[in-house]
Amino acid sequence: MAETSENKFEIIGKSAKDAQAIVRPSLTYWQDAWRRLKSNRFAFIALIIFSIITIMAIFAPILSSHSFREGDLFLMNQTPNAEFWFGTDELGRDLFVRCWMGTRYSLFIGFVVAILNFTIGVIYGGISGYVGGNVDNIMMRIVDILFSIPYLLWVIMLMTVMGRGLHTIIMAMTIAGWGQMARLVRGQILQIKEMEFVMAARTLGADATRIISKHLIPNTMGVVIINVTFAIPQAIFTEAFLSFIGLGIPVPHASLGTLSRDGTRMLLIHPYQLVFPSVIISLLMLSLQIFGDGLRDALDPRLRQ
Amino acid sequence: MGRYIAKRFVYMLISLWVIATITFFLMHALPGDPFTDTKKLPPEIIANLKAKYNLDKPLIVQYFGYLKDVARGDLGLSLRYRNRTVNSMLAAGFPNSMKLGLAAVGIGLFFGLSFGIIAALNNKGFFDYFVIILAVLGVAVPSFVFAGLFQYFFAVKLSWFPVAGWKGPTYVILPAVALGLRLVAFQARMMKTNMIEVMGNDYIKTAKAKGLSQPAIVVKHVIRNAILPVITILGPLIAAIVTGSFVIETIFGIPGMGKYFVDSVNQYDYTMILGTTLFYAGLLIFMVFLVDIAYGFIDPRIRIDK
Repeated sequence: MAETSENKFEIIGKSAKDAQAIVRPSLTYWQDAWRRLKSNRFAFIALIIFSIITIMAIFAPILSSHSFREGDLFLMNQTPNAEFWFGTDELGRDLFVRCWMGTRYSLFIGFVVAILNFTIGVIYGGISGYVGGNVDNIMMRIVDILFSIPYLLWVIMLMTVMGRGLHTIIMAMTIAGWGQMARLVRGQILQIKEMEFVMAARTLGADATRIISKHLIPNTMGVVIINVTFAIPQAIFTEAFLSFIGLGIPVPHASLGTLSRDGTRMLLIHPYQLVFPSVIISLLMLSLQIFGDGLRDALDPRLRQ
Repeated sequence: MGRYIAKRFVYMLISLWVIATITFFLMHALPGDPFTDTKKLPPEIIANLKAKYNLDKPLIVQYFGYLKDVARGDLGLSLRYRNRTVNSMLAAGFPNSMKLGLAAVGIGLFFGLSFGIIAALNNKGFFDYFVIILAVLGVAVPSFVFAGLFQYFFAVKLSWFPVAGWKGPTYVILPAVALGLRLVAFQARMMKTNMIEVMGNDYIKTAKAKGLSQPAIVVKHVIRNAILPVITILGPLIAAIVTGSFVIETIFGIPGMGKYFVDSVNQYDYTMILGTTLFYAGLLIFMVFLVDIAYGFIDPRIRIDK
């Protein structure tokens, strides 16, 4: 009988050294979020739809041979055909170009308003949350009182005084809209600044600038970005609403809101004039909402089961 | 509870005062005065007119005069129509808007809550998907599109309802549904999520363990707990109904506040717009105040927290 001793055995599996090795590539927060987002089918489809709409809004007006502002009065109210894919309106303007021009304006307003609200909100909420105490108290009471006025009324009031136009819409929606973001950022900062890793950074001698820029703001970004995705459709909706009651983009320019308003006027005679802008606006809203939901699941691992 | 109400009340007053102040200064930030663009008037008449509207006094005096007017409920005059005041417009339009608004809130609450409850009990079933689709549509499609479609299909094509106007009960149905749809969508989704959350709690298990029947559990425990958060969002939702009525009243030609308001926007009737906005803001802030108090009564945790 052969003698068994330790040196007759050979380890064929993992060695103790290999078990510690990192096999998979390490992922940053954003890579991880992207991986999770890709596996969410609905969010991914929504992202594709949104991208198609955006690409059309950018390129369709450039590539089309028709002008969005000049019409041919001999070609009024044409139903969709090979020449005018979405038909023409009551002034003989090509609705295909007008719809995508409108989408361009709506998207532009949505993005700019969301980014401005984001910037103001992060600064205001960041200061309020970081400084805390009485400063926080006063700053938040100001926000409470200013934003107890319903958002739309605020916007209408400001638009009345500032006049109609692209710039005034953006300004009014920014003045009336940054409060929500400020509240959100402040809440996040209050929570994060009490966490251990911030204390560790402070113990290691990091100054306030470093703590804010390297720890507090990056950690609020997930929640903030989710809210920006929801702020874009809200801004597009508000613009459509304002256009509808006559406070929108002045003619001959168009947004999805003004096109839908013109469409409802013609609905009983020429229903196709409402169909195209309202389908685009609905798809846009839907894809942004679903994408926002997907982004929330991807960016905020705490919400995952 | 008294302290809680008092605190809410003081907040409400401060908000109203801030809004009144902002409205006043916005109105005075407008270039020129109401009489610069009318026909050439002799200077004496302009002076007289200014005296009539208090425009000859220093700004601070005007401000306090205005605050006094607002406190008495006088919201100002129209710039476009002589003898038309914001108050007369509100008096003419408010009853119609209120009928429409109440109908819409009624539809929204009834269908929203019952859809939510049925969807939660029938989780992942047919009705659940119906509610999900409804919620998605309610969020994605603007109300004026719904209103237009309703008009087209139910009034023009099927002629079940009148197309537009305001002459009797049948005229209320289409606009109220168009206005309440968003509310139905929101409430249904929220109620469903709350119900499912509540059903996972231990006290539901306890109720089951002590032998309570399923309907009794749902009615006594699940619905009563799940309905609480729905009440908190009532404030913002009422705001949505009120602002939504601007569009719906215009489309259906209903002589309510919303339609007058949109008309004054289109006629650049500044004093009218700002006066009405002030009224709307006041109304909504008061609603939110009522909702807060109702919530304080229903949910004792709120009172302890504050």
